[in-house]
Amino acid sequence: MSHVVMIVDDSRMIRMQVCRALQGQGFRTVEAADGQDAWEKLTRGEPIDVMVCDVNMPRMNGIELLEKLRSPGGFEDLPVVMLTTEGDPDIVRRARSLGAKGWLVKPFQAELLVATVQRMIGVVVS
Amino acid sequence: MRVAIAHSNPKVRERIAGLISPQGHVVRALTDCSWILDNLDGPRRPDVAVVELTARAGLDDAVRTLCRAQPHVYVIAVVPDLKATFVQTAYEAGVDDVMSARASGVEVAGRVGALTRIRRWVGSMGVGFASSDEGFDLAALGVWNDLPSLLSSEFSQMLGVKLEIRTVDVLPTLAQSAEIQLTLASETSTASVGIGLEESGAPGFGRAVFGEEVLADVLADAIREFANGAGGAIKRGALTEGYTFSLGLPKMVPPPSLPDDSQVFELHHEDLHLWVWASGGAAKPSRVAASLLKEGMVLAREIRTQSGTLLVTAGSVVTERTVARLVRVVGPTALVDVLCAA
Repeated sequence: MSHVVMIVDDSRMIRMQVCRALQGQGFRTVEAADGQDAWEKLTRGEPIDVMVCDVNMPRMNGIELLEKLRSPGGFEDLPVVMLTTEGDPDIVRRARSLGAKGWLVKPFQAELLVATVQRMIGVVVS
Repeated sequence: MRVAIAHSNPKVRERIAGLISPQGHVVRALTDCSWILDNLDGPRRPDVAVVELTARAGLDDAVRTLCRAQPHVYVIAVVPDLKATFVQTAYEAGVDDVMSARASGVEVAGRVGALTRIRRWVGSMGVGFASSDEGFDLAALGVWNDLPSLLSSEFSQMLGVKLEIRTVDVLPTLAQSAEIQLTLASETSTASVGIGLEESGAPGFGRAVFGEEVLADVLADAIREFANGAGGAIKRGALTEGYTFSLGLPKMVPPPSLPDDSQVFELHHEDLHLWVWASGGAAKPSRVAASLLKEGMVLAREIRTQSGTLLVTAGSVVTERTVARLVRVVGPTALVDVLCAA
């Protein structure tokens, strides 16, 4: 069965590009337009193996979503890769302290993104 | 504020920097005062210098020079402990304040809060700190001066083609345009960068991004993402120069009327033409009730609970969740300072 990746980004363009890259490697994808949308989909029971998440988004940003994921609720172990234009070391540190497993800066290379997600799945499987 | 910490002991300077940075100040950790002295007349001059007094050597000549500098840099001496001889030596040299190297986190945080109050007081006396009486000139940033090549590189990566730069005086009539705001809370300054497309340029842009022509709303989303990419590139570049901008959310805007000092240029490749404009200036702080905060506003000052717990740092971009949290903790009528373009 193929693994499911949730792409959380307020840009449809980025979601399309990420989906295209991952679907080409056999992943199934679910899209969310911001942190709030992602949280609602997760709590509705959408089965997700890995999350690729932007930082700067309306309603609930990526750091706020990480905070929610890491509070007790069943998503503490969900691997999250941040995909963002942000390079602020303080924000990177904050994301890492909240358990983000990877940090990719846009514009992203499709091969690197896919390899990172595959590594996350490997972490989950082992 | 810009705070420089000059201390030969890396543990001491990193500890103090680590306690001050989260308060939203721009902190530069240094081994000695030479960088501060070299930059006394420039746009990077610190508002506050935290300097070292050693048990053996006392305060060096550089610190004494710093204490006499005009416009004045507020100088805090870090002493080994609060023995009368150390404190006396520091004050006699002309420092403004003294702090023990072993000061607790609460004490250092308190000093930082005091710095903000002192700055306000000095400003009201008409003396002024570096960043308040000169304003901040974006041209002092290398990244701002190199904007055309920076964005040409960024967008070339996003599109997978090499974009050429053409400087122009005015923008053509744009069919779609998006803008992103960057805020430098420590300097009460903002910058905005916009990206636009002419009607005739839409098909070429659509093909370059999506491999086919796309509907107008899909195109608008892509232009917004390019504005976001521009903001991110500027922010990352400025970070290497010691300045931390807050990134707003990119928004579709009507074609702008630009201030005289705007940068305007075209990035192009074959039938692909992107128009870029950038301008900056002072940001005007305003005070609003917590319940009236709007998504995308930037907080001018940190917000703490009555017991002193830090809730949100200066420079944070407001989200719906921030508003809900502040209303819950500090109350809907609590006044909050935000920055917006003047």
